[in-house]
Amino acid sequence: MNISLFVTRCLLCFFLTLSWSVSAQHITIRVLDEQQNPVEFAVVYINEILPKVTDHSVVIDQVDKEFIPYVTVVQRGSAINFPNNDEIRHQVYSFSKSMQFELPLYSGNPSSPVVFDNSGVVAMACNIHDWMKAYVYVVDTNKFAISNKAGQAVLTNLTKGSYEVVVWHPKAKQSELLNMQQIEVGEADQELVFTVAQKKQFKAWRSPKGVKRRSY
Amino acid sequence: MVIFVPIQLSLFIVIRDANIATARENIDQALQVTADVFFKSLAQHRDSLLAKVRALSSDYAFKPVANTNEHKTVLSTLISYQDRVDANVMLLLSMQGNIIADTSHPQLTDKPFYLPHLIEQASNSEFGEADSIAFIDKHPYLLVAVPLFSPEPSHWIVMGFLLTDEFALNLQKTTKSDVSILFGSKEETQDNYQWRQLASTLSIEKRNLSEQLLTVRKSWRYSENFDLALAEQTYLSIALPIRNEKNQYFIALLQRSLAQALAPYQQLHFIVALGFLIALILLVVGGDFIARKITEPVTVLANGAQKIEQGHYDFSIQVNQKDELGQLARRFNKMAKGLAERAKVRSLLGKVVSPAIAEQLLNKGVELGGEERQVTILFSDIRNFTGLCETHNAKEMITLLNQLLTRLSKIIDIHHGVIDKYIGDAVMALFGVPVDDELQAQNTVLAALAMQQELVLINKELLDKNAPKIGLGIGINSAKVIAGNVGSATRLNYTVIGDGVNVSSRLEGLTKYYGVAILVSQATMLQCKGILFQEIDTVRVKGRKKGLTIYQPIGLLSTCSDKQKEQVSRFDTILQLYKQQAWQDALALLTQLKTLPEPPTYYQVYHDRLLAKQGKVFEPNWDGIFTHIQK
Repeated sequence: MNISLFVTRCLLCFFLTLSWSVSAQHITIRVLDEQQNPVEFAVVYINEILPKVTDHSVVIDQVDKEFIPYVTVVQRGSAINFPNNDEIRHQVYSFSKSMQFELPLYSGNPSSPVVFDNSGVVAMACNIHDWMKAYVYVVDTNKFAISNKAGQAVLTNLTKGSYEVVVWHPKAKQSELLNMQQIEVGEADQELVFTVAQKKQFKAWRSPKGVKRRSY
Repeated sequence: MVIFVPIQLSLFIVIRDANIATARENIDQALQVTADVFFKSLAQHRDSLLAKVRALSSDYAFKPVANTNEHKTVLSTLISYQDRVDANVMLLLSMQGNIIADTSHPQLTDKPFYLPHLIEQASNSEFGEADSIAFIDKHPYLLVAVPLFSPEPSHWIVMGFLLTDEFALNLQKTTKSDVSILFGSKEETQDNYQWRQLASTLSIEKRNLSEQLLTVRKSWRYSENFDLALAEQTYLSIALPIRNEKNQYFIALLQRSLAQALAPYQQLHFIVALGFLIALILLVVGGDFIARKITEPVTVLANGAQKIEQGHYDFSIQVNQKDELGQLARRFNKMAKGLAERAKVRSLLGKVVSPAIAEQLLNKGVELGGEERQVTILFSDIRNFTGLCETHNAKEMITLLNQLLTRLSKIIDIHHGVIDKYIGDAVMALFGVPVDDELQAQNTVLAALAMQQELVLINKELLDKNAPKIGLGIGINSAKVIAGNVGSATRLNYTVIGDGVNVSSRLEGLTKYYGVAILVSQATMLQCKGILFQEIDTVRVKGRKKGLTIYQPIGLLSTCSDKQKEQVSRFDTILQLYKQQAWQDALALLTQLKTLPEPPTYYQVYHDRLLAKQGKVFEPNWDGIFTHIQK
């Protein structure tokens, strides 16, 4: 992850927080792993069907043989653009149950965005570069956020009432329905802590260099 | 030989042992190299498999196929890929480990994978990969499992390489060691593993043997070499664990034949053995040579020495060698010759001088000078020898004289006397020198009597030859004299010097006068026992003032007749009267005595003396000694 990406992301978070701070209560969610380390890229949302608020354009960039961002949350029916900013072609695919698609080898901007009609996880990758992975989490609600480096995500503008807060992460061991907490939203801001168990990840062979082969 | 053979044998054994030790060391090193190569080869095969599967795992044409999860489509794809990469088996499994397609079991689908450990191992690994050696339908495979990412791990791809004899043979080509892969298993309750050969470079017979031996054998350790005897050949072997699980082992058995490793040393063995044989032959031949060159001559010399010891000086040994032994033999012969000459000298000396003197000369050495000794001297002289000359010629005379002297000398010899010298027909003999003899006087008188008896025999013999009779006068005296070697340094004589010698010579001369065969001085007579003596006279011989009483020995008292004793006694009485100047009485008795047959000459001597004294007055100063004027 380069510095410009980091700055962009921080600014985005800052403005989001600023815009909703006047109206209602916020819930700050802290996502930790089993070792109490903050977990970045955790999708946090309110588990209820809420109307689609905005139809702003969503982009998953391909820069330097990486998808940016790594995790994207969209409301069902959103269209995502996959511009290719590398000088080489990429082939984006997904075999996920909720969404299977393929963008055959291309460069620049594809002619049309991909519309995500089913809620759930869509794992995408580049067919050429095994390590290039990105996740799109399609939700039915309009209350969602993604945790930052500190493992914090803020759900804003919640009115009083009872909610189910769900956390999903690409490396979470358990299904997101098991990472769910009830919360009563009242006068004050609240903070919720989620401990998400991580599943074992196989290292991908990005480059044979530096990887020592085992001998018999 | 006794030393040589064990030394050679032990040398041979030491060399052989060293060779075997070296061969074993070499084998051990070679086996370690083989072990390296074996594992590298296995790793290479594994890496090759992994590379192939990874390639497939990243193949974006395969991902859609896999994600169809259709048995037949997947199977077809796998078969095609397997042929392309020259693998022996391929499987696609679901992430949960269910078989989607299996090229070794084309019909099999939607069943749990029969090698769950492989997937378990992969799941727990860093890269999601695993490899193992395992059986598929009793055939050993090197297997790898790699996840298929699409992009999340969605499937397992398994690929296998069949471990065949070819694999072992390829290893043998590079390592020259025999390579076997064995599988060992046991029941929980058993102690020993049952071993089964899976792939090997060994012959079927040796495979079976090694299975049995490993099964029976309890004490062998991994990576440590041990001996296995296969079909009468010792194989140094090491067993390497490839995959261990509870009660199940895959091992690699690497072996090298000891005999083969020793082959280069066989030539050395042969050379050493040949050297040993040559040395042995040389030893035998050399031993024989030594026996002939040393032992035999030494034996001959020893025999010669024994002969010399026994007095056979004429013995000469035959050793025809030019070495030191030959030299010794020649010296030995010279020594024998020297000894023979000495013996000859001794014998001759014994003839020239008496044997006793010769012995003393040889033993004590020749020294001039002498010592005072008590000795008895015998002088004998043949009477009427010249009378023989008339009937005999000179040569006959010498022969006769020699015969006489030989017979008389022998008697002297028997009585321990030594011949001092022959003076014409006279003999001078000594008794009591050089060897002391307490009975010297007795022996001398007995010798004289024996000589007279011998004379009787001689005369009889002469009578037979019509030769005239001969007589023998003997004078004997005992005295202290000087005895020793007398003469010059080059020529000398063992003899005695002294007045006593002259006395015995005088006595011999007087025998004629008195008409007796033997005259003995009083000094001699007094030392004799058991001999009857007749006192003859008391005389003053030439050169002596003192009177010397002389006697005639008659014979041994035991053999003398009473008549003889009476005659001696009667004459003793006459002598008694004579000494008392009783001339009348003496003459009367003598006249009476003279009537006996064959009266001795001295009766007449006294008769004449008494006649001459008749009527003469008593002379108080008369000592009764008769002075002989002549010699």
